[in-house]
Amino acid sequence: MKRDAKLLRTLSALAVVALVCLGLAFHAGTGTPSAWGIYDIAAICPIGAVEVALAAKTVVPPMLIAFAIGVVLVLVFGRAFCAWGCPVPLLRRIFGSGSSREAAKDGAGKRKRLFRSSKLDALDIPNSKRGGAGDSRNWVLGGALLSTAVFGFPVFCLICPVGLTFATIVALWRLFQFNEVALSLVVFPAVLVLELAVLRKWCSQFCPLGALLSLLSRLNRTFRPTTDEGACLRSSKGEPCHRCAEACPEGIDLHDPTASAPLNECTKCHACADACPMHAITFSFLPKSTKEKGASPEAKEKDRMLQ
Amino acid sequence: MVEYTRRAFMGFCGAAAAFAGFGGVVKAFDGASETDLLRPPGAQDELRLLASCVKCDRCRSVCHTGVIGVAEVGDGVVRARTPKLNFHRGSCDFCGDCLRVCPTGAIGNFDPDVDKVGVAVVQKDRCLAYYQGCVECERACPFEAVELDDAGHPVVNAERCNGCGVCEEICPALVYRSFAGGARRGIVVVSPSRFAALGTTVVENESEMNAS
Repeated sequence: MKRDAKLLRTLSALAVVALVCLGLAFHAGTGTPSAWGIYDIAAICPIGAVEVALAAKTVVPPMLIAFAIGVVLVLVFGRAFCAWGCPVPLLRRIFGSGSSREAAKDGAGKRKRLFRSSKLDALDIPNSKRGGAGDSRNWVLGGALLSTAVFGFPVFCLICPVGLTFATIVALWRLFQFNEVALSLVVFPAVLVLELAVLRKWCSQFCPLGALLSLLSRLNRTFRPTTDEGACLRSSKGEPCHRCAEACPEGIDLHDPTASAPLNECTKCHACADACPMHAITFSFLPKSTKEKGASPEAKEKDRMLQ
Repeated sequence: MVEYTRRAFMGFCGAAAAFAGFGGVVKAFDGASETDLLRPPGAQDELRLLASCVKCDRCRSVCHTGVIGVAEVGDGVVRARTPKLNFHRGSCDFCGDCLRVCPTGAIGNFDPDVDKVGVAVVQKDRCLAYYQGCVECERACPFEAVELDDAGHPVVNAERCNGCGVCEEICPALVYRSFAGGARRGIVVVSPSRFAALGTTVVENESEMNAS
């Protein structure tokens, strides 16, 4: 396992931006992550689709197909969008307003606080409670959907940081292409800054898209992190190594189910695999079968070598 | 557990109240079912568009004439990022690509012979035909909706006009005469609701065009 997943994540999120720009340049109609596809086939943002269904009170076949494609992607890749596609971590890295990883750890109360505590710390919950009714992201999701149904338009879409990032790119594009000066050029970035700088723990405390992806990811079984128990210092030698748990931005501890966040919170970011000194953590497509075929003999071999 | 359930209820109520406040304010100031914005063909039901559009940018991106632009915050908070037509960038040939790529049904079916994107309106103080003679819009209209009266002035047949915008795109009025006085041209496509308020396809000047 290479140890540069952080760089790869940055490049991956930049690639998403580049693809959107390619679509802009060639009038390809491919769209943005709100709905992305070629011609009639698209994958739609699941929260956008649910909002539209609630607001319009109708579901047209193309949206059903686009929603199904989006759900299948989440079932296969889990919350991978959060780590690999979402522009928010990218923006944080570029503008340095504290990484979401630090924020999440901060929230879990496992590390010293990097920033002065705010009132919003009241929203911090134990990792094991993440994704449940006490998770503030789920409240935001519920409030967004409820207000959408009441007012008849997708309320969260207006302030979605992902949508606003790409809306800003489109507005900038049109500024340079057509000299279109728009209020959007000021308002969209301002709302973004408000959300990501003031609500510093946006990803772990507020993002309803992350909340919905977590809910859908409960059915995800692929690309889950698995530990080669024979190689792991903690399980094989009993050493007090907690590097994978400390590295995890979502509060997952692969070795302590009681203190860990549920595995459906995993964004497949590979931070744990990068942190593991023994390279014991892998993200295989189907962990069980690979373990039976490959890892078990390997583990035996390692045991033999250790003896 | 009890503590968490109560906390969850309070938290949900807080989030719902915040969104209700935000959504309510936006709706109250900006949720009108009528708009002066020109929408892509098949997106004339404003409330359905506002309910269904996820602002994915696909229709704007796929438009091969470039007539579909993007509404901005100045057009209304709830309308920002939705598609709007700009006939200075192109005109609509009803190719149906925007309908095809729309994933949510915000853009519906459109029959150019029956439905209307808008209606073209001649503005006398800008139209060149009222100064020196010009037949550009009459010649360009693909639906034979622009005729010349006895004085050689263009007259729009509101029945035939479907708001494709070819006349506005080709109108040379502000291009040759003056750059002062804004971006309007001698013939301007207005939204169906604006046309209903005007009740005519010929107006004297800008203020009559924009009168509410």
